[in-house]
Amino acid sequence: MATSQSPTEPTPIDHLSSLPDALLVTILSFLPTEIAARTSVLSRRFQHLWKASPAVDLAFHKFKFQSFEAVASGALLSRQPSNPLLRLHLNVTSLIYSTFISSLLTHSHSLGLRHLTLNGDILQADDEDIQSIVRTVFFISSLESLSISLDAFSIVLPSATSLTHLKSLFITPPVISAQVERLLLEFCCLDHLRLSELIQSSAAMVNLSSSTVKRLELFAICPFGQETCSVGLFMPSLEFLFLSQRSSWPLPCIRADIPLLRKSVIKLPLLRHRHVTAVAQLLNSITHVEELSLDLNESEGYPFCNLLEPGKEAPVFPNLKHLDAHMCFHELNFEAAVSLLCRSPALQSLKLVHKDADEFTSWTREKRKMYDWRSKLPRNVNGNRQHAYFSNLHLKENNKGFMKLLNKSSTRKKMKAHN
Amino acid sequence: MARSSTENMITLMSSDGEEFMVTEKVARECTTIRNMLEDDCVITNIPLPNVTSDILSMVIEYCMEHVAAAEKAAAETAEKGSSSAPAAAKANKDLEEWDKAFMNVDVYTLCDLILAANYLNVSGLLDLTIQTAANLIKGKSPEQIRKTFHIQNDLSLEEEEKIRSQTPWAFEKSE
Repeated sequence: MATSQSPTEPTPIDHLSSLPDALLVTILSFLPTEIAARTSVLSRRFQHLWKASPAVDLAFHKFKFQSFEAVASGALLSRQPSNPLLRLHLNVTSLIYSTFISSLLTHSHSLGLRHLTLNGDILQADDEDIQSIVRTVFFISSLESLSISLDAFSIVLPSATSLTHLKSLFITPPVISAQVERLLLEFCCLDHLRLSELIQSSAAMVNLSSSTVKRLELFAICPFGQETCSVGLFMPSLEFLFLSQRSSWPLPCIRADIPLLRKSVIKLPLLRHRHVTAVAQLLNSITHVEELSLDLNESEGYPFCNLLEPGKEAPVFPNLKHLDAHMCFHELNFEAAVSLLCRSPALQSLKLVHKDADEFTSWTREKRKMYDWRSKLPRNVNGNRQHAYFSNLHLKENNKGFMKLLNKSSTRKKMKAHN
Repeated sequence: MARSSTENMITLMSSDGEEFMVTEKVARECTTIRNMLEDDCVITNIPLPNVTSDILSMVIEYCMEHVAAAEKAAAETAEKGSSSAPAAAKANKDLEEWDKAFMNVDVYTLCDLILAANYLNVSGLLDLTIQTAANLIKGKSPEQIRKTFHIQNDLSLEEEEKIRSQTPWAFEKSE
């Protein structure tokens, strides 16, 4: 065990110890706490350094059950307010009592905790236990960022919170819309909201209002009952919107008042004909975006236009600079895309990628002539019709190919009209 | 991407007296130097008494690579309207690979780079070097960590046992 240097060799210089304490502590703060604590036996200087780390990162599933309390008291509960804790990453398991977790959170609060990540599997935990943890979390008034990615069926958000400094909030377990609506009004400077699953709490419209949120990410919206749900977004500061939906759920109808929106990413699975109104409405409420990324998947036995309601004109996108669309570019979609492009005077770059029939829909597609599903995109430099890229469209000399694309559609329409 | 001849050049002088001519843009990657330039915009010769020439040349290499990567991305955006997502992802990955190869250094150099990155306040390089040092500690026994960094153990066996007994969970064999 002892480090014995052979007398003939010069002792190598201990460079790590030449670093000032502050930098050594920074190195230790990048490590899980038990590994940082392991450095306490390296030398006299390292004995207490790990305790000064501004971060605690404990994954309880890595420890023996008996040592949970020893770990927590050694790594966290023995910490004094003179030694502030900025970041806490807790990975909990169902085996730990909620009162114990709450006590860790309460102590972290007294240490001025700013960033909390709460992970883990608590599926077996009692509902009341989970709620008591959540309630504690929402009263850590010093928090600036909070990420809850517990494996739980759902969590109940408290009706009041003291998280007045909170800037970012990420929640993975499903949450009820009415609770989110109420909670949003409590935050004063929330900037970034990410919800993995929002459950509509009643047949009434979901209204998400915030004057501060700039980035909103909604991964799935579970409707109340069988019908589709209406979601209102009243976010005057919103600049970025990500929206997707779980494949088995109907598409939500979005009504949005988001005048500052600049970028949007929309991913919709398994679109059916009856969803087109919702898609068109969504596009209508984000017409002032500068960057738009669309990823649409069709799921009907026949091709239909994904973007526009039949007989209606494409909306004008006055500011759209960059469009990235992944969808099945069969004739109807291709024409809708072109008419949308004709109404986007600021367009600078364009990326259209054809999506072939996917595994969900291929069985229905066999019923139709495969021809109907073929890409109508122009042949590209690689000699296929899988994608079409255009750039620098704002420079007149570069947009010949693009004009050809626009004309291709109109000549086809004319030919049809003649027939 | 030809360097314009009007671009300001700055001379950085290492502790051992070697001079390095760099563009102002590269020098500005170091927050410490950027602050000096902003305080006194006519300054063109900056002595750096805390950084040796070997380490300074590495810091400059890092800054030049990152400036070039940022310029390339900006040029692509200007040329093509927007750099496509896969291209940007590839550029990021290339830079990550470059960083990884750049960190293939002995622990002496690594520690000197940490000190220099901290002194010159190059946040990207500081994060990179600190993370590299942290990775060298991960998955090792205390004895292996001492060996890696040539740390002299000045604790007696009894003292070491006593410290271990205070946080036994830190020495559990994790699966």
